[in-house]
Amino acid sequence: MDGKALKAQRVKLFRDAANFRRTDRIPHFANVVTWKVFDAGHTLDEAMTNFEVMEKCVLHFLDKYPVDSILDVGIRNQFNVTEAFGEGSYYYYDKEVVGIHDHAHCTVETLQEYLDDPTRYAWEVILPKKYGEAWEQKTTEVWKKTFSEYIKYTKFVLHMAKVMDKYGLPGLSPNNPMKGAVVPAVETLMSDLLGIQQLSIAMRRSGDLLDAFIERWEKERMEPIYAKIRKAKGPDDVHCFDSSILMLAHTVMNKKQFERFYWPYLKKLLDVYAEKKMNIRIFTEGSILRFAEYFADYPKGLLTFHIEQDDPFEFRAALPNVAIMGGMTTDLLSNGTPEECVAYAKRLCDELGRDGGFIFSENKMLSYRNDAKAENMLAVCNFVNEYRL
Amino acid sequence: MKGKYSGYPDGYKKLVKDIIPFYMRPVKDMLMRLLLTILVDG
Repeated sequence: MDGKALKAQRVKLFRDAANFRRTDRIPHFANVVTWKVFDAGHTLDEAMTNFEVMEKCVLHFLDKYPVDSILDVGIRNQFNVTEAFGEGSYYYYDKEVVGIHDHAHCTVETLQEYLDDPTRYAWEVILPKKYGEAWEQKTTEVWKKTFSEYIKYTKFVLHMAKVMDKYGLPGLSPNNPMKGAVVPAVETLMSDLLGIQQLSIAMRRSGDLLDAFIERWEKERMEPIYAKIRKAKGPDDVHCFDSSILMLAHTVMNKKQFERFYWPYLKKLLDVYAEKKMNIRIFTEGSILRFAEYFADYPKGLLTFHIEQDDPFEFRAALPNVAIMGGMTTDLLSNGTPEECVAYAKRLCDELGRDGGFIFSENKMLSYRNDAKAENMLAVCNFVNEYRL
Repeated sequence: MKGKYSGYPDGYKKLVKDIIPFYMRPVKDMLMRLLLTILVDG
């Protein structure tokens, strides 16, 4: 089967599973990021600054492990652009580890200023603060070199999209780095604008300022997205899902805060997708089960939760209307035997996937060397690919 | 930023013109915004 036909078959498989339609086998979405670098015999510093090495690692993974799609084909962690610009990155890496420091572009008092003109704010506030005295030293040559690296990176992104096509792997959703993701206000507050610490404090002390920011974000950023979704014909036929949303901010909220700062706006977004009968994947970092009641009334097909810390069987009992992505724990992949991993994979497929509603995946992004043993990963991938329900 | 790129929007516009000379204005603006996003968030 050629790449195009294989991709179409896989899109159908993912969509059928998300819509609780019976399938002859369970699709496997590989939640794999930088683990593949180690598996290919390289270290992170070798792959994250060299497109050729990174592509080699991606191809090594795709040739070795039979999966139906993959989270990252080497485009998520590349440092050439920021390194061309000089010291000052929030991201850090070495041979074994990649991470990001908690950071804040704003204070709760400057959120409105950011919204007034994000480019001006970046130019006058964020970049001078981030790069310090070095900001004043950036020459035309440094800027040109940085822009040149950015163009090379963009070409690499496009090249790896062709690799995905060749292997018949559908992308997760239309939300990719080239088009921009759908980001609820509280998630951008937590990840960039305020950071974890400031957001946590602001929810207690400066609720009105947060309300004002969220309302404006909703009007200026989200309403155009709602309009765009409403204009769409419906589910697309080239991606696993119509949208992928990341939820992390709920992990620092109590129910009262969730009901004030998060749920009314998330509900609005989900309702619009529901109107168009689209399929949405939500990566729920941490645990989402304590908020299960909010999602209980949506029809089957709308929501697929990629669960991280929640028990999949407990999740199915609590939210039988929500498809599950995940289930395979990195704990078992890194500490178990191939037999134990396959036995658990079989239980997941049998108990969660017989009537649709289940997509096999790893519960955490496989990033570090010890997130999985290669023999376990291989045994599980082969099993899921060959097992017939 | 000091020197010929100081101030916004004049210095910023001058920089865009210097480093992205070959594209139409809307493409230049989009490319520069995306580059800034990487520098801001990366």
